Amino acid sequence: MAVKFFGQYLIERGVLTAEKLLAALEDQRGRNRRFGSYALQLGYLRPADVQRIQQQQRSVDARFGEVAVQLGLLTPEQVEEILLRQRQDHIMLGELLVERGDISPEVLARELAAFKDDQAPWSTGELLLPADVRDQTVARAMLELPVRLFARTTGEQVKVGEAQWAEHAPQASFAVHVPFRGTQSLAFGIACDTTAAELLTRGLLGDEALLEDAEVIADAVREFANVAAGSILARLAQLGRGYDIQPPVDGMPSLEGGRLLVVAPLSAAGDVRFVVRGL
Amino acid sequence: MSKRKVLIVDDSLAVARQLRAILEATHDFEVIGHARNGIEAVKMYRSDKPDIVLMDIVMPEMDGLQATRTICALDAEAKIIVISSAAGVSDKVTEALRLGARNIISKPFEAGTILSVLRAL
Repeated sequence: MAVKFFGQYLIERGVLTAEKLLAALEDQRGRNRRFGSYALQLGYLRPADVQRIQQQQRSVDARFGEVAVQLGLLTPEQVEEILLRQRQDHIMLGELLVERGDISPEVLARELAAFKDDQAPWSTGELLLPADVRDQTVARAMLELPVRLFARTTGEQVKVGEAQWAEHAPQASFAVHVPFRGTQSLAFGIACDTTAAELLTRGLLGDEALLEDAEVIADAVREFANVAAGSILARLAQLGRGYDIQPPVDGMPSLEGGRLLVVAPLSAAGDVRFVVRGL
Repeated sequence: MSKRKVLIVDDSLAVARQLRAILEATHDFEVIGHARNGIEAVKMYRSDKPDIVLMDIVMPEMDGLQATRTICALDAEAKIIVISSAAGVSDKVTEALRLGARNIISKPFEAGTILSVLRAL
């Protein structure tokens, strides 16, 4: 139910060995060329420009092409052209595994269908974000995914709703956050009541007996935050944003002079709020 | 056949209890310990010599990737299965496998997945 990576899904299912996956990933890395390599080949950038863009990327959370345009080194049209070429040449992992003889086309079709089904989002309505959220893509990943995961874990219908800025962290019986390390100091948090915490525990651990232990319920909320953060991390990586997560911390994230973006989805599964700091 | 000894490494008490319940409901595995971070995991690997290690990645003190590296350096035959919420990140999967993990299971997991992966070792 979490955001997964197809290669990991295949080894977890026992369809592929870890050795074969590693070899295929290495092959894929060699064959799928990076943006900068196309720009060099087309004569749009010099090696020194590539270095300058990469250096800038260490302090700015943006993709190579975006930075190149900001620095006036590429035009938006050139970025589009390179992205198109990159997409046309890109070899997907599944396709490569078939080409290498690691899996048959039939197995690929079957596993891909199962994977897509596993990754299909539940219908939870649309997340509305305030217009002044700087990075709407990151905000969407950090708030939409946890709501979907919450719906799947509790088995309840949940409607996302509207995210709002808050000057204070929400108060709740259970509150946990996960710091994200990267170019920005982001944090994702969950605050919920006992009903939601118990539903999460039941959904995650699948064992009624565990509900009698208050410490296990608090720990299950921490684990949910960890799992949600892992899915956010995977989505951010897919978007080309390199972050890392730290272990869950009890309580809401500190405001650090800023505001929190909060969404309070409508749900029969108790009261739950998801918050993000650093956007 | 004697039961295979499993060491659980996870900072979450809830996950450790869940894994223990899954494994002990079978006749194949015996949980011999629970480490809450990488440092404890390395110590327990040395002292208890488990047949299989179930390793979380994101943990305080020493994370699961560092612990995997250390354990595989001590014992090239170590059977480590990484179980992580970060299994959707291809770089993390690649790193864990390169360091010597035998497989990676994503969180949240199902009992059937845990057992099929462990039985295939």
